Amino acid sequence: MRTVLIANRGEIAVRVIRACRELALRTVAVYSEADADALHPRLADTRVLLGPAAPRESYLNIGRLIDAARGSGADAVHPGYGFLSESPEFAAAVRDAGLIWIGPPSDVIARLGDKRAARGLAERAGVPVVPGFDAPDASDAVLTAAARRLGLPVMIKAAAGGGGRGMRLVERAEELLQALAAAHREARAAFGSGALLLERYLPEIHHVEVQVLADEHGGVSTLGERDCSVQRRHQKIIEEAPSPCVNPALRAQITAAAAAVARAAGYVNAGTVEFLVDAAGQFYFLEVNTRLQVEHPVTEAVTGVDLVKAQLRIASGAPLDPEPAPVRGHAIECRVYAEDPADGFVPSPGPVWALDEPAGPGIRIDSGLRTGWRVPVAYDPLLAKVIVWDRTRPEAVARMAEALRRYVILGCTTNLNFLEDVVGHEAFVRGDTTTRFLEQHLPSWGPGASGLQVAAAAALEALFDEQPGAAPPGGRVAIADRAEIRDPWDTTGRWRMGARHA
Amino acid sequence: MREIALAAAGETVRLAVERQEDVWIIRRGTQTYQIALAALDPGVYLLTYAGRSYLVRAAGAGVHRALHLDGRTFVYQLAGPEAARRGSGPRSRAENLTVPMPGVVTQIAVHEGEAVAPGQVLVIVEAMKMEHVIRAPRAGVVRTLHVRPGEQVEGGTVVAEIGPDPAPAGGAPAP
Repeated sequence: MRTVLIANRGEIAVRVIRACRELALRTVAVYSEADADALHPRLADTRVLLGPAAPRESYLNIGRLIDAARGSGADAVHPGYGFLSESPEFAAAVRDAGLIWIGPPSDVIARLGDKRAARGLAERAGVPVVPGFDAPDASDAVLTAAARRLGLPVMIKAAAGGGGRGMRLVERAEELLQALAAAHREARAAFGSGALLLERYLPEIHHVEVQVLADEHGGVSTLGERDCSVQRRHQKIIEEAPSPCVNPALRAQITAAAAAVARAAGYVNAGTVEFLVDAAGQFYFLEVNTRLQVEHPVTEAVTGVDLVKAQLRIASGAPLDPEPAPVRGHAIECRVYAEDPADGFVPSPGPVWALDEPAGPGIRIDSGLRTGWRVPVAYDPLLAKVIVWDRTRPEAVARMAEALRRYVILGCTTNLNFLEDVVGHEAFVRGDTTTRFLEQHLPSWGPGASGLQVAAAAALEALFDEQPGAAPPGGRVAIADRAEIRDPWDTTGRWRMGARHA
Repeated sequence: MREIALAAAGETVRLAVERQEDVWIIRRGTQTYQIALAALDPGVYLLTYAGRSYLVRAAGAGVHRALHLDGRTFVYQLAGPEAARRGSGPRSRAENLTVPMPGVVTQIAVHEGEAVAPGQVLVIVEAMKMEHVIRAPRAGVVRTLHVRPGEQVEGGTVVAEIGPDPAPAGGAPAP
């Protein structure tokens, strides 16, 4: 392995490029027309334009990606997360092109990526699963009947997917058909398959997952668990390791279960086995993510293992380190999204006028941002991740609070203020984090501008009028020529996957 | 003395700003702030208030502004007298249905001239893989559709105009 093509964008492309450089591997970035000015193409040794912004014509286009790998002399492909990272077709196409696929074999991805097959595999491995319904190609009528049998609320999921796409919580029977239609559309758009499955919705749960590494020689190791319970729209926003809800006995059980699933699947490379843990400490297998997770840095922080470098080494045939990595201290990750938490978390792509990223002991920023860039409309709103480590959870929480305070992103609306309020909430400080954390503790939220902020804004404006040279670059406009201002009454409707499940 | 109006979260705030030597005096209703500001670099300011100093980052384009002060980001707009009037005035413009964010039109569920019921789905826009559904705010007739399926739209784009119901029960709605 000498040259790695990173079939992704944003912060994860940047993160993989850096790991490759540490291993003295050449890197090839791919990008769409919408990402011509993005950070990741600038950092790689070679960059290849895939095509227009639409994912199907760029980051989801297997033919163009393989052509890019061949044309650039790459001999390996790292898929990142999202996009084609869990596509067995892509993994097979990479292998068929004579390239190294940095991930599990195509047939393993196919088996585990099909949530039905994965459930069956876990059950046969003696691991408990969430009660659900998983008939392939079921009609809406069949799914509706199944939802009645399971009892509401029920969770609709894309059989082929992950990451919250195509996922819907249905609480009332009359919402079911519309939710099924929307989930079909989203699943088809995101994963190329509209197949759905239903699971009984477990309220008040913790989402706990175990990081697994497996080599090509049958070696399987686990790197402790992560807690990903703080979610909005079924998408994770804060993750930590270790989980505040997992005691040593439960840890031993879930890590053993994760290793059993990985072995049963013939797993190779980095993967994550997800579980739901209820208030009584009972755990249920949820799914296997056959790729690097967004939240992998919290595991890296507590184990000292660089998971991307581990992936690269495994893909080049190296065996796992026989010594298990001990878990040390506590790590937390906050996901910074281009979204407006005050308005149902609507995506808020836009410009990056000013950027100041925190750094310091125990603080890591994985970011795809740069000043002057414009966050495109076409892709996931994840901008960056703030990861902190400290010896204890309370110290890590305090470090995170300060890191978030120091993170400056001006231009597009982000969830930074919201994250500060979550991390500062007494329930979070206590470690009382279930998947219903936000609806219980922050059901409605506003950014709450302080009097001083508003006064400072007015004083700055007056200053700019007097001293135009003091105005921020590009930010100067005479008060006389104000353009049209968007009227809040113009906006009707609600983002369908809004925080409120009503 | 000058008046500055700022709009944030659907609310317009008016402030009176006055300079006395190196101090800006900002009055908002009965509250008064005395602030010293030093421009360190374009977009970076040292603000002193009540004996404490804060590093402020500020940026903007057009009427859009954002600043970062004391660990929090404040997003706002400059609001002229016309904006302030509109913000507190009647909801006359609710007839024009706009998308809140840039995105791509994925579905148009109605046609021009169609009578619609309140809450009926008109247009679906997708941004960052999330769907936004624009619904009829009231009963009426779709007068104009301004977008086509697959079209990329900017935030604030008017996607449809709803006219009054052909047989209105009460007075004519505002234009």
